[in-house]
Amino acid sequence: MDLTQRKITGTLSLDVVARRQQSIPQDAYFQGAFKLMRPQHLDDTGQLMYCLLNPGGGYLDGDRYQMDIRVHDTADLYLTAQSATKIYKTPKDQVRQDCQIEVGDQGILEFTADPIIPFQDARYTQDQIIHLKATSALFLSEVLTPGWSQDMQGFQYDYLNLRTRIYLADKLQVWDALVLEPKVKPIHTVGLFADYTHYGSIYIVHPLIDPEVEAKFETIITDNHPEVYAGISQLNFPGLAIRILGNGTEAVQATIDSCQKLFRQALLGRENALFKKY
Amino acid sequence: MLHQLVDTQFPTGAFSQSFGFEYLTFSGAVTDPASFQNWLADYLTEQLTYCEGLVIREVHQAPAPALAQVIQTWSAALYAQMLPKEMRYGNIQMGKQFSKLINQLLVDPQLQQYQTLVQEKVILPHSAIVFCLACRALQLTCTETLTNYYYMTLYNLTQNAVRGIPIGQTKGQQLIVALHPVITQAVAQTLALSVDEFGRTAPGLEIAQMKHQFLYSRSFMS
Repeated sequence: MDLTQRKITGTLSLDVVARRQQSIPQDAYFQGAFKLMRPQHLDDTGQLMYCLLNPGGGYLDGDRYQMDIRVHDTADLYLTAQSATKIYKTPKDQVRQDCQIEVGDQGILEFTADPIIPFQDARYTQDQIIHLKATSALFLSEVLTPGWSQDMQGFQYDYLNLRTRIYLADKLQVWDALVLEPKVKPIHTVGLFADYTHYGSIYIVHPLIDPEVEAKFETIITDNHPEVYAGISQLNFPGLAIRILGNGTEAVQATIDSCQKLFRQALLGRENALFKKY
Repeated sequence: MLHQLVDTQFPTGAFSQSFGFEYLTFSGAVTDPASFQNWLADYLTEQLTYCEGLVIREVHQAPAPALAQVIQTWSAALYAQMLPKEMRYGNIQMGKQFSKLINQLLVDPQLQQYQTLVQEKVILPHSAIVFCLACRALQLTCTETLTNYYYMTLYNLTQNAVRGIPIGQTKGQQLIVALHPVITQAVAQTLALSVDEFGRTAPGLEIAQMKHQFLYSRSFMS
């Protein structure tokens, strides 16, 4: 990997552990273009909440970001971001973000990344590697917008690569690569984005996931979000993958929010859990 | 022998898979030869090339001593990349049938080794790898193997579209002819890919493959 040759623009390293009734940061280190807001406990579940900021406002050409998040056994973390990941044009190089996530036994991680906005002529690669145990729980979501360009047409970026790999007990279970080169390959074809402009992805992992739980998610998406075009499927292990196409960040984000609420209610048993998006 | 393998009558179960286009026919997105051809081209260039094609290349080029390990690695990657459940089930069934059948037609130690890996549940079977091993046994080059695999897959899907959408027999044949240059291009691209590009798929393909399982009435298993 090219990380040895490049100066890292932003680093985040976060260890969350369970202590008595609450999850607490054991180690939270960030430098450069990453910043964590002061952690909070939003409710009485003991879950720790962190909000991630990029004080620079956006990713610049040549930037390298490195994130390491470890949720230790029985710890519970909700990590979210504040605004949007803007990737400005990259005339010479590209922007790359590497993210390593580990969730321990009976650990819980909810990670709702904010919408990615690739600007005109931008190149962006994001590589996420997630290691789970058989008893870990995960809610992971991502939103991709058509990006920003002067003509407001969208899809004016050069290259976008969002890769996620999930290992369960060290066994590779998910290999997901979305690669878009809208200037080379038209976006609005039946196999790619059809007539839609925004994309969303969700992974839900929990030992209790079965066809009945899958049906609940399917129903909530179909009944409450008819404006999006979405698919859901059970993975090779107790987990779900959800793919969403829609027009507008709000439509896709609302679908994700519904799924996160259901994840908390149906799988974490948090009927009255406070749900607040920052 | 190769003619038998690429024949749509070769009983691997491909005739019962639509890999998602049946949902699109139901939803109104794929209803005629032109819209089916567009879907098929996306399926080839946005999924097949980066997944099965790349795996065929890696298995074809693996030296014999490393073959079993290469097969294990790529079988796991291939099924990790297939998020829609019906795609995994359909491909496991096809791979199982293909591996069993080919070992009754061809005597080859590498195909036998593959069947053993499947029987011992070391790997999940996939027809792309079985096809590749058969072509290795028949001493086909990697280019020939990929060309024939893409042709076979597209031909099978087109025959299924002839019955399923339906489209006319002649239109189906014309559509395959129109896709010849696309296949040639896909083969060249597959040979040039970096291993790091494995696993690319596109949301429109995947969502249809996921939604298929929720259709009330289905002619195909995927």
